[in-house]
Amino acid sequence: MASGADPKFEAELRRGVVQLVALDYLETPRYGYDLVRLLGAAGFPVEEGTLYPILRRFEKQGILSSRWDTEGARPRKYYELSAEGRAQKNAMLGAWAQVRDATDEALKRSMEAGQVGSPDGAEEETTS
Amino acid sequence: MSHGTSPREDYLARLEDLLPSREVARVREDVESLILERAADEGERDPDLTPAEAERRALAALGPPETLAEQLAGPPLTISLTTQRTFVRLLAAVFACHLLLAIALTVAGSKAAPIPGLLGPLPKEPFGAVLLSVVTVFLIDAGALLVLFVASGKSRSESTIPSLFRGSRWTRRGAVEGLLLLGLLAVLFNVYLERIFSVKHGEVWQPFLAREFLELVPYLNVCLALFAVRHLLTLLGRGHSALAFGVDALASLAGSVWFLAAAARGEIVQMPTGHKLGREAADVLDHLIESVFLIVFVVGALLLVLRFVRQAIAVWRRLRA
Repeated sequence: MASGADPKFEAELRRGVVQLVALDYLETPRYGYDLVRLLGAAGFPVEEGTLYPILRRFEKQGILSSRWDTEGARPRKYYELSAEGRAQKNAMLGAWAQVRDATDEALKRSMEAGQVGSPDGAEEETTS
Repeated sequence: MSHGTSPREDYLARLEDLLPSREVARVREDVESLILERAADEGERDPDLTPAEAERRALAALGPPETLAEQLAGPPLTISLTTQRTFVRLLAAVFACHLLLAIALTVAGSKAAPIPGLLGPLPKEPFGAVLLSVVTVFLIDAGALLVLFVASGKSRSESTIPSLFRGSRWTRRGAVEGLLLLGLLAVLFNVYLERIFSVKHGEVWQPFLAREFLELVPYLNVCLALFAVRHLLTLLGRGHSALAFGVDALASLAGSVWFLAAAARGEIVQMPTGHKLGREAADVLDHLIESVFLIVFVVGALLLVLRFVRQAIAVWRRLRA
């Protein structure tokens, strides 16, 4: 999903958000590759090499619980948000809302200021 | 490059070697499950895809094992006086190897210290003297490492330490090269040793290696044979098995014992005297050449003891997993 933005910027931007979205998806038990596909379909393309260390870290921190299902053709490890993880997710949602609102507000102000001054800020409005 | 095992096994083995031992079993299961899941999905989406290609794509999605291990275990530790973990870990390994060499020299009955002031046999009694020697060995190692850490600076990554503590990639190509090298060494030691180490006296080439040392050479074949078995196991696709690492550990131990036994020989070189070379000059040459041999033997023993430690850890990890 190319936005035209600098790929490095976009990757950094997504890195934090994908954790929040992954935690939200893990309200219901899902196995690792299932989560990769879901995130990809939702516009957060992420490789296993990126997602697995995140899941492992969350698991170590007690944010996720896990269990193996060995009844299918292949053994699958299902991850699910723990009670502690749910609290963590809510805290992250709060942080996300704050960042989003602050970003919107800052960009709005900048845009309003831009209507008076030049777009690149080279010529700020002058007062006599 | 062809691999000693399947790409998946090779990937997992490389990952295992890079992870802290407490993480190995769990991460291996998780990652293997991810690989199988992705490979199956790739196969379902594209029925023309071969299983090998599907697996290759699954491995590509995980990225290099080095990167994954770094993400799982944190960035490489920096060599710094404040990085106690690296310092303590290295000190433990170096002290263990140093002490092992000193004990082996003591058992071998060596009278002289191969490296005066740094490496030599321990006293056998009284207890106080033995204890003092062990403490001295520890202090020497701690001091040497401290100097290394200070000299290395604070920002060097662990990778600046030789890759003695990191895993190797056992590949079929590497095994073939290893077998060729071992064959060459076997021919050199068993057929050409005396011809190579000889001096010309008049029209005749006379060997200068001492009989006492040459008696040890056949035992070297045992070490070479063990290393050859290790490479053969790699060729048979079992390069990352506990058995292969066990054989490697045994070969390394045998090699280090051989080097120590060679270093502990009373006489390694016996320069033949003649009309141009008097006894006195021959003794000086003996001493010089023996010093070079001793350095080679001690360094060889040290490297093989470190290799033994690494291989033994690999065996332990595999048996635990």
